[in-house]
Amino acid sequence: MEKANHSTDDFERNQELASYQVFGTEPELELDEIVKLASKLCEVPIALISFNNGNHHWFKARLGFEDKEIYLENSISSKAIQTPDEILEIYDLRADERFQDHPMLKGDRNTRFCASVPLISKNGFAIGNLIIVDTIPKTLNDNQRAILRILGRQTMHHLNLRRKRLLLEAAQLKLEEQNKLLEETAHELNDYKTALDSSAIVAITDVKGNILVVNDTFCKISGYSREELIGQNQNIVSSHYHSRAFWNNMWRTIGAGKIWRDEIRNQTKSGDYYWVETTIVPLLDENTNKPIKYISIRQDVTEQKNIQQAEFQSLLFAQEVDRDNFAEDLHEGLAQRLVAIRLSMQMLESKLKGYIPPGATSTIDFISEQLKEAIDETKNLAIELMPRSMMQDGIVSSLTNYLARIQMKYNVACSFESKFQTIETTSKNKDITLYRVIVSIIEKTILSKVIESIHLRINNEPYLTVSMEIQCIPLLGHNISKPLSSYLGFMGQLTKRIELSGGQLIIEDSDDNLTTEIRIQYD
Amino acid sequence: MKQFNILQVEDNEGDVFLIKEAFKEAGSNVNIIVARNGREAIEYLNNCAAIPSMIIPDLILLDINLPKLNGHQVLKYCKSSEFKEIPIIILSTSSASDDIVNAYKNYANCYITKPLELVDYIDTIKSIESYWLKLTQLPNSMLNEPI
Repeated sequence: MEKANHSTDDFERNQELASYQVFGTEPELELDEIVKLASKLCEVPIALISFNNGNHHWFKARLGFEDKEIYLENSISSKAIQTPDEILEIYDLRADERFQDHPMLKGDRNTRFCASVPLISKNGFAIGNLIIVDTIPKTLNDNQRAILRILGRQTMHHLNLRRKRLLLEAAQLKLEEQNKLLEETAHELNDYKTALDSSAIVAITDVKGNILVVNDTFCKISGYSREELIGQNQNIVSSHYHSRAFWNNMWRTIGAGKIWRDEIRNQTKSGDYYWVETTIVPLLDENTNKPIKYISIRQDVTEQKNIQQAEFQSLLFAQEVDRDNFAEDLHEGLAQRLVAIRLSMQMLESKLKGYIPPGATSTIDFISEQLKEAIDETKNLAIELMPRSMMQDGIVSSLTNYLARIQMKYNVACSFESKFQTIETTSKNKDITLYRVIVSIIEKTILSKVIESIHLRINNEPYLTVSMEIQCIPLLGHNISKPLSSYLGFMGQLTKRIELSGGQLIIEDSDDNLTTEIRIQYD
Repeated sequence: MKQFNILQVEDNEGDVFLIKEAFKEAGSNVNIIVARNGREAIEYLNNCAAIPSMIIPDLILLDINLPKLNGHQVLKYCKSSEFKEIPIIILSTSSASDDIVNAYKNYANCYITKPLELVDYIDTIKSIESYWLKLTQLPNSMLNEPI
């Protein structure tokens, strides 16, 4: 038998009783049989299994007794029944002063003998009693006492089993609920996956970018089979289009556990390009908070990108056509008019030969000289808008002329190395793009800095590469000049233009921002 | 002295004046009809085809940079019209290879870049005069003069 816990803490005891979930429940066969056995073997007409909550005594099983419950107001008698470890046996209740107010003695109840064993819980609380009652005073023999104890233990044994079963049932119920929730979540997740798979290109990679999982859409757009992709680095679809800085930024962002988003140009197995708006979400280790995997979700935006590029290109084209027309108007129209005026004046001079007063000749010469300068300036303006040589001899002669003008105008030391005279492989569009970008960068630099020298090199082996170094003089009182690469809007435009012509623009400023390296390469 | 009729297609007033003066200096009997733009030139030729009293030019001097149909378009039109036999001399400031090659591809009879100095200018016009009006036989003269 469990050792009784004599703590007076009713709260803990009541908690213990509550854990058995027995109070006020329906009768149970096993306990009914125990009271039958107790009555039979102890030869008494009344046997009860009682649980009490304070002075409220409720009978789970009862034999020979009408009431389902009684209230014991007398605390002494209540405690007297509740506390002993062993059997409490009272030969004659009526003869015992302690029980004079006991409800068992009230009314027509003819209670005389009473014996009870406490029901001790696993934690040592007396949560109830097995009670036998007789209408005559009596004493139990040792056999009967032993039986009573055994039956008390059996009762408790049953209650313990019952509690375990209830706990198990509750646990099972909870499990079922959780299972259901899990199933629902799994279902929901599957819905998400289906939706994502049907709408996006999805891949999961390890921290080095090796592909672990790809969905069907990924396979479809890239032209590779799943077997070809799994285990490969994800740069298998790279089109080698974006700059190193672009990728460095991406790795830095996702490496820090942050979400990265941008548009990427990829390449299919057969070499075609496709644009994807890409979101990369790092999956972090719970403990270290460092990425362990990356999920990339991409949307095919090739069509939008193509439209965008076509729009930009046609805008650029329209701009070039405008410039060309305007340059032609200046060169062929205005400049030619001035030429004709100058020639007409010379004609007049020759017709008046011999009649011109000595002082007037110098005036005529002055006007003629001024007209010549105006003609040259007009033609230069036209050339700056659209080099005539661009249309005839291509970029090299245009750049030579341009640098010669810069050298004259701003006293800048210029050098130009070119391995060839014309870019055979390139289109006029590429020529104009390169020319415009190089000129734009120089003009931008002239606006913000004092240029000392410009070194320009064009090479086409193995790929067309333009490299330019602009060296500046520190401005007095302006030790910290802005790096050229920081003009983001401006550089963005140029980068976009170079990209549209199939190339890549890289601008690097030295630490003192006095030297800027510009590289434009096509591959 | 025989009079030659030249259709000059030129929008620049200065050039119109200069050419007239230069021909005068060369001493030829030349009647210059001026069209100020491409459309006027084509209209003039159309009128020649329709109205018998109109003077059909012996020679056409054509600028490339013109308002309302440029020189190339006028050239193309002329060389596919019923007056395709009239020699067309391109007189342009442009020395762009595209312009030159295109002009010959469209059957221009010669391409001359306008000189920038007066002496050269007069020399050029004199050369045109001595070559086209004196040395060569022009198809139109055969038609205009009764045999």
